[in-house]
Amino acid sequence: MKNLPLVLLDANVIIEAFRRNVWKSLSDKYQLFVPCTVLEEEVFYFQSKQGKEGISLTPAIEAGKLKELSALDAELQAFHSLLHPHFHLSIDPGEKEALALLLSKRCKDHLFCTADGKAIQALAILSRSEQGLSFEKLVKDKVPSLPHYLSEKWFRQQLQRGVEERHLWKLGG
Amino acid sequence: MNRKQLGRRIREEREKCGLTQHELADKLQWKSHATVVALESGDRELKAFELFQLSNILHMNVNDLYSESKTSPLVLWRKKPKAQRKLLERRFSLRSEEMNFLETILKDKLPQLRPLPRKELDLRTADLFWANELADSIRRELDLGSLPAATLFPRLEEEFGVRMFSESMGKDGSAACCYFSFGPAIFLNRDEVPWRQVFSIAHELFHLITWNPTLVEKVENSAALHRKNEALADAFAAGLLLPEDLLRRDVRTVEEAGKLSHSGLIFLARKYGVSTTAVLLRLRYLHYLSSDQLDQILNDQTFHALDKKSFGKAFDGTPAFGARFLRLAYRAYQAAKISRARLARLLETTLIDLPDFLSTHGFPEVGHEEFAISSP
Repeated sequence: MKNLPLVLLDANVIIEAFRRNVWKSLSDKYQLFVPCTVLEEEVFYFQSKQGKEGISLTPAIEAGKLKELSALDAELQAFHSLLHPHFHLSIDPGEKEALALLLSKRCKDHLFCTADGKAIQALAILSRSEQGLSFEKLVKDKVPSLPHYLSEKWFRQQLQRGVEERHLWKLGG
Repeated sequence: MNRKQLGRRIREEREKCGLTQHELADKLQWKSHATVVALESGDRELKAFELFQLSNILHMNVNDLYSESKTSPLVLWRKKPKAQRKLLERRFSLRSEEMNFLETILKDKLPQLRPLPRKELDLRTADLFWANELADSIRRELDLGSLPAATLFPRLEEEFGVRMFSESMGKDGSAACCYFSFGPAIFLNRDEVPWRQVFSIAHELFHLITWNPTLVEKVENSAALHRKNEALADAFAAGLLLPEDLLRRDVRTVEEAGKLSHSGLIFLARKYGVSTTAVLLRLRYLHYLSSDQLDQILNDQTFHALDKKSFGKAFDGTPAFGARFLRLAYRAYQAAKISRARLARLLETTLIDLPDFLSTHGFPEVGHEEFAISSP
């Protein structure tokens, strides 16, 4: 079996993939991962033209195309020790867990697809820019009317901002 | 921080919340409290997800679980809720800290706020007359105009930076306030009707203006001092919201041959944005009524039924936070200073509902298109 690229997803990306009906194609192209917090707390439904529709990740999990990853307290603490406390107040638990996982040895080869400006900045601050991936790039095909936070341009801007603000947020490590 | 130290911190914070190990296990939907025991003694490793759940239940940031225990701030309640007071206080504290965080990260972009006036309160000598005089001077200082109920909330929030939050407290709680190290904040009961809440804001304003940690501690430890302090705050609130000269003028317009009808009373209450009871108390203070008359009306069941009937059926509760909080959170998000998921959580909504929530409040998500402006 071909080795698929390993991609950790944030909640915005999963919701958007369902909304744009590209979830199946993504799960065929990549080996997908989701942080436990995102799975348990954030991705229940999406907004379609018909109204709210439920997100069911169970089929992908059962088919082995999506795997849940759970960061341990020690991994979270290691992540916490690297950034200024104010930075941690600006991101949510799902993003924290994803970033803690990304810094752990077990996810050193994973990419992280996120639509959150602050999480993208964190990648640059932690010198992990190369592990970041925008939704636009993940989907590869041209997607019409993407909101700004899913675009490659926005992603690059946020990485650049993280580089510029690294001195403000990075602690030790 | 090793597992044992973290376990100890969790126990400290659980105890501060007034929760038993059983209650915490229930809230976490764990089958047995033995898991909490194992956790607190450092015998069980925590997953990040569980840690987030815990911090959510304990109303604190994970950051704070990883650092030394902090002293809980003194919160002054108008009427203490019987259940979950400590949890409510922590919620109040956390929301105020979140607001302070938004102010801190946007510091360079925010206009300077005015400090809230401060007055010294001597509970041995202060009386209702003093509280009324204070209300008059504060109304002028805050420039609240002729209908103070309409301007009080935005003026305190926008010009003086008083942090305003509300939470559902049922019939028990009323309102609370605290002068945190970073500034003043008021906590309202979302279930109370608007005019009751306005009165609560004015009442809490008295406590903030006269705030002194030593005094607050004394008041908290003496029922008599607490009663007196509350009576002064009520008199201040009535004086602030029902300016004497204007009320006297309006009473003349509604009285008929020396009598005031229930409808006249309701007219005055709605005009000034207060309850009919507050108007009656003010009329008593201004000698329109004797104590006996006041007692008689307040004990009159017909009056009570009338007062209840006037409570707006359409009232759907107060928002959880003030307009300034929403604006700062939106601005911090649009400037990519907080994440989208963080914004959703601060606004007590979900990621999927966020666009609708923002649009409903007039704050659509936009990109970073800019246009030049000249410097006049």
